[in-house]
Amino acid sequence: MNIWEVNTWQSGTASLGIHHSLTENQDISFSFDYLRYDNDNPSSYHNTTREDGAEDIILVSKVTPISFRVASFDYINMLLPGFTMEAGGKVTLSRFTNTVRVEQPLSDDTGLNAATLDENIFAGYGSFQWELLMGWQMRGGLRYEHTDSYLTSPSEGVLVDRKFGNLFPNLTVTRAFGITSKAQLAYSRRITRPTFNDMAPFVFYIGPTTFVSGNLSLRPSVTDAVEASLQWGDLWLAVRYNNVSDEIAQFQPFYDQEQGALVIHSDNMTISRAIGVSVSTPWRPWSWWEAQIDASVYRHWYEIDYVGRTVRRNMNRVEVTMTNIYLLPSDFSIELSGTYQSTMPMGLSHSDRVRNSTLALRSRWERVRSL
Amino acid sequence: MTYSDMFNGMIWRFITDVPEINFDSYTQYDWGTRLFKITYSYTFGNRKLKEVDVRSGSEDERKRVQ
Repeated sequence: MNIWEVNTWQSGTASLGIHHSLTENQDISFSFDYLRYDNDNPSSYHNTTREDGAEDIILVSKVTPISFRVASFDYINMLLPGFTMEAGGKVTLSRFTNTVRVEQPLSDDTGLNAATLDENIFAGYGSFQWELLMGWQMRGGLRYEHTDSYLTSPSEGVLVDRKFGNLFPNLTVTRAFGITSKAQLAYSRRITRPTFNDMAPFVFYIGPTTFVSGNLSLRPSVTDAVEASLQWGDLWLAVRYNNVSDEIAQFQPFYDQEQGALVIHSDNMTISRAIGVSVSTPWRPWSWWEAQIDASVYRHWYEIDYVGRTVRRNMNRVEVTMTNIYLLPSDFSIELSGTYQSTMPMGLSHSDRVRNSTLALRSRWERVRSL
Repeated sequence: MTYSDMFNGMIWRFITDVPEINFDSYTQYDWGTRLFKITYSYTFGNRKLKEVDVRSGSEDERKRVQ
């Protein structure tokens, strides 16, 4: 199979930000952003079957304009010395249109898949930061987001009409020990919305009956995270637990009986939990050699529903990053860094280990000039 | 000067093995992340100007188009 593909993205942003101090202790700010993206992604596939020499040509055109209008308002007030409160709101109006045309000129077949997603998010929040006595500090907040998702297709009408609201609390308690050491306990809930690439019904053929596509029925995932951490000078240790509902796993295989094809797309997992330990520390073996080591170990448990069956998995994962800086004369330095990531879960699949290494030579020339 | 992914280790391999439904697949993506880069930065203009930091409200939305 010969594949030809062009994937062009054009984007533009217009932003307006206003910040005003009402009094010595009160500030307000307003921002408005308009984001526009245009994706043009044509591709063609020329397939020849070895057994009988039969030929097939598939021509795909995909045009995807995406726009966001985002307005936010924030108010901050230092009510008392050491006690600050903040409140605000945010409105996000997004529109995403995807038009895919598939042509097979040899068999004179043409297919058109068009869809428009209007997603409006209305959010409000309140938060506080409180400096208590004896090195204690407390930060917390509550955010509410209401989402309207409306997906339509000219051929099939309304495909998704979903309205839902989520509350996102967070609380962090910190105890400082002197200037360089502290212990912290934090809880937060956050939302991860699917990317537009995860959802877009594009088509990328890997073989005549295997293609990568989008999944319009993807739901956002919600993560509850608890983390206890200790910073002792330059040494940092953390233990964290994550519970994710509807986690989005990319590249999930799905056999479409109607099309007789294997479709690979992103999908929501039913359950995903992980507990992990991280450590981060600098290391300076010599005056000319500075190093930083970051390491994490995780244990994952997850479940995914697949063609009527529940598939359960668990897996251990290790991530290690080491950065070395070698200081040379005349403000030159060499930086050598490496990352190792072991097997990582991805829904039904898992990705094999990857290694990355980077070598850099840096120099700094100071230009001295009086203005 | 930066030379990234020196040993070409950023090849992603996805393995799917679901014996419950008799499904087994292996996919390999080579993203071609080996890159040699030379960067030069030069500061010009009045260095005494005060920076104004206004928070953007669209950081989450930018992440959704990646």
